[in-house]
Amino acid sequence: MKRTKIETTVLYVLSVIIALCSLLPFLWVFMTALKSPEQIYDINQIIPTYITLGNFKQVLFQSNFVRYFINSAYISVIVTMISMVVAIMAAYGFCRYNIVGAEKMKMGILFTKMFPGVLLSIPYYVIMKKLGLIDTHTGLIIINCSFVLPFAVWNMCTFFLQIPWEIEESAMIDGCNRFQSFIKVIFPMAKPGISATTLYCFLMSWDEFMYANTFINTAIKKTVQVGIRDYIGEYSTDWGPLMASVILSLIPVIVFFVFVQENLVGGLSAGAVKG
Amino acid sequence: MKKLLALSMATVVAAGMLTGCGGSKPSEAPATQAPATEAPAETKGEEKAAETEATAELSGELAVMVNNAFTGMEDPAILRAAKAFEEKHPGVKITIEGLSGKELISKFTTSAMAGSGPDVVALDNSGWPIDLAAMGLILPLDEQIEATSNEYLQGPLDSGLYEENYYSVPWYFNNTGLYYNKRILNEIGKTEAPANWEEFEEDIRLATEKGYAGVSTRLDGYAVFNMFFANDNPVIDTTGERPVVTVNEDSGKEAFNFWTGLHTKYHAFPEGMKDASDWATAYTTFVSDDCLFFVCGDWAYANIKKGNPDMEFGLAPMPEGKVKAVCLGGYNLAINSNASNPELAWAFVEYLTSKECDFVMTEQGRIPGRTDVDYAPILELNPDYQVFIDEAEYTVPRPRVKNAASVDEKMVDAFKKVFFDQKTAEEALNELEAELNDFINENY
Amino acid sequence: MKGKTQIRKPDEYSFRKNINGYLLIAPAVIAILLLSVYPLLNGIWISFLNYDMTKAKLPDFGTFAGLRNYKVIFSNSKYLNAVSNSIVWTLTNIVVQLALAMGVALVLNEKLKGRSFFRTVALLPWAIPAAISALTFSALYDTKIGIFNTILIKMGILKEGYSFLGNVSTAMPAVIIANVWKSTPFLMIFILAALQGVSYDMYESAAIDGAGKVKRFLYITLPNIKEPMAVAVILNMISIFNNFNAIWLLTQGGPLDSTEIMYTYAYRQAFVDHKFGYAAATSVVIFIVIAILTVIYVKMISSDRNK
Repeated sequence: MKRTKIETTVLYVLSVIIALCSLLPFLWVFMTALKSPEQIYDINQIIPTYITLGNFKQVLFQSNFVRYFINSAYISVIVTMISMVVAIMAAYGFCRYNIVGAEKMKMGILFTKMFPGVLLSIPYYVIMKKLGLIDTHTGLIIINCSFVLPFAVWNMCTFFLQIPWEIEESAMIDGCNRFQSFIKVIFPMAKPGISATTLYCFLMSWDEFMYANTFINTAIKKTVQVGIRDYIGEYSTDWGPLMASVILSLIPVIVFFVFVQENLVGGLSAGAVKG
Repeated sequence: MKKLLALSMATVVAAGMLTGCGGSKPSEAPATQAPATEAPAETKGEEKAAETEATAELSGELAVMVNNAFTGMEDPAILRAAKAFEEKHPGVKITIEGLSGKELISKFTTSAMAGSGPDVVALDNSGWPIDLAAMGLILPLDEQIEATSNEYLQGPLDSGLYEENYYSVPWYFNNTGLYYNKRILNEIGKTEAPANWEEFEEDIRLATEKGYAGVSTRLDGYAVFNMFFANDNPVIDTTGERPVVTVNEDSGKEAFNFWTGLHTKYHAFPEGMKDASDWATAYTTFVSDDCLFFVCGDWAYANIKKGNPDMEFGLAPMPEGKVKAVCLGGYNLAINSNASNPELAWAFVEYLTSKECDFVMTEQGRIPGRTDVDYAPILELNPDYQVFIDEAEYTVPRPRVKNAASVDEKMVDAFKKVFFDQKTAEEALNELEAELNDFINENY
Repeated sequence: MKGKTQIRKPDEYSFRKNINGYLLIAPAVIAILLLSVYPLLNGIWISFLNYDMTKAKLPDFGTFAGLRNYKVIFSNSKYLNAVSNSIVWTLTNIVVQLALAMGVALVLNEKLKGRSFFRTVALLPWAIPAAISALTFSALYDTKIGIFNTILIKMGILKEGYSFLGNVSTAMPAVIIANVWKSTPFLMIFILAALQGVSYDMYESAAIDGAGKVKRFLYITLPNIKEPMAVAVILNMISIFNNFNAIWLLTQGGPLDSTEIMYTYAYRQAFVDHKFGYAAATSVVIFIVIAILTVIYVKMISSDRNK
């Protein structure tokens, strides 16, 4: 299918518009991060005429930011790994085996996410206290897993269902066992779905604020999202360092995005047999 | 099979949790309150012991949660104070956690309801101590307050009074002043800030005639209570056995009509005032140099200076209505009912509110809530703060009712109904009275 | 056709033949049940109790209240207002987001130079933490220095600054726009991933048959991505309905309750008024509403699949 020149131009224009809409609010964050304190409050400096890296220096070298960053990275990576493995297992189990009451169970899993979260924080606190996990990263990892898992299982299910059973069957006829056929056939075909879901898991735990704020008390154990709010004070907000830390906190997410969106290409368009 | 097993396991664990530690009925609920009701007896003995043995034997760990106005800078004074305390008592280890006000109260409520949480907590005196006292989450401190040599200010101290017990001690307090734009004031031919409501209204009339906005503030209880207090109306009278809503009495009507009249008569309030969602950003309407007055607390001073260094402004006491009165703000310190070592917690609270630790507040221009404070460091920082110090004598805490934050919201909404041209002042005030009466019936 | 994978016979439901399946789902099911059942049951249980925390010292505190909490909230006009706001909030969000996400995904699914750049950029809003996007949007909406006001004044549409978040008529649209900006990428990425499941062969044969772009979209693309898209929509709907931060951080449900949704109402009941019983009852209602919607929706998809 060839596109005409006009179609290509239209696509580019649309892409640029999309990019601008996404970036506009970012521009404000970015510009604020590059402003000195005087500029931030100056109405004539909405677009800065000169810039400073002082905010970034302050965040990197005069605060616990790096520490928070490492904490968040550690928690998010572990959560993503655990949830993806568990979710893929569960989704495969639900889709490829005949489980009694599978639909009901899947529904039940989803139901756990329908109750407003703020009200669950008190019973969660009780559980965490019983388990001795208050003020620990392990506790946060467990909580984060429990809230990303339902969505991850559901997402993976739909992508596995998209892959025809016959493909797997034919692989098994070729002498692969079930695990091999999963790795060789299902995995590559579900790659876009797996990528999207991995991104989801990572992002949810990277952005999580409420539980991290409630369950962590020690300063050096804080996560990035909690740490960033150190700059939002009771009586004044430190805009410069706040926005600089936001920009820095986005770096791993952006790297992850680049990686994931490359993996979004693939699946059935790669030319596999269609059912 | 596997599934059944898993399910039953989960149910058993869940059931165990329900009975074992549930926030559910009998088992837990009384447990959380128990310390509160037993506390007086308990602390009586301990307090005496502490008195006699002086301060020698204190040891243990202490977790303190304060608002991040005290932790968000380089070399926070509160950490220096904590360190000095640790040096005095080698067995003691103190950790200080700083959170913004909104996050602080929900985190404390959550953790304390779950039977845990920091030992010492800083609470906004706008009603938090009363709520937590009613919930049985903080300890009464009457014995300690009687025994201490710290002379707390009555107004701030009263903000922690619940059912005849004091549940908190004042840490620092603030109140509102009247910031004025010097250039605009000169332009309308005045040299001094208005002293009373008549002058205030006249200045606003003149300024709005010239196309300026008259007065800005943040629409929040702190500002709206001022209007009533200055006209000798307590909004809700809590002196009797049961709170009585007084908002629709003549003095209340007069106050509400006066302030909402500034909108209906002169459109005195700038559009940008509707944006102000917190006190930290409320000043932006004032720094654009086209608004005559701004009602706010001490912290706005630095923000205004930074926000528009070229603008000349002054600070005056709030204009007087029928009486001299301003609404009290600031923070108190309280002790968690779950504190493992209330004796140590009180020792630290007493220390942090003593003269020795005044520097923690005065370094930042905050005013300690005691009578024997040396104000020199505050005035050195900013001579204009004299206004707030002078107002200390007549600050009035908000009505001492449970769930006062809800009263705040209702007050603000009543004002907004007129400000948004939805209702007349009379209708809005009648509705407010009805809502507040419902509120009292629901809560008492 | 797509998704027709259940070609197994009924007798294969035997436990022995499916033991591996049970083993595979066990960790997820156990983890979710262990961590969610107690808080959930606790929440539901409290909704039937007298649980006004500021009355914790009264004798009837914590006693069984039957349906009293539900009666109280349903007779409250503010609650009913919150219900209708919730419907407006959720429906507008989901419709706008779905339309935008579909459009963006289709554009970004085309082979273009710089596609990976555009995709990454389009995903970025999703990465911004709720607190920061709230701060950003309140700055953009600002009456004095906000970019929207600056533009509208320059274009001559407005004479002076207008407070978008502070006025009753514009607060809801303003918070919806902010949320659409932030959560559209979530839907977009799952639609994009689903689009990968549509093979080019099908498009090509359709093109040979002379089907136009719109026809190809309606008869090939849409049926093929329907299922993953539906799931993404459900998940998104749940998170929109329960999106507390998007509203609380911008307007706290104001001005004059114009952006108060059921969730912010429940939060207010719990942490402002300390009426945990009412808050729990409100939450249970939220829970039931979403659950019913979800069940209907899932039934619709699966009946479609079995045709």
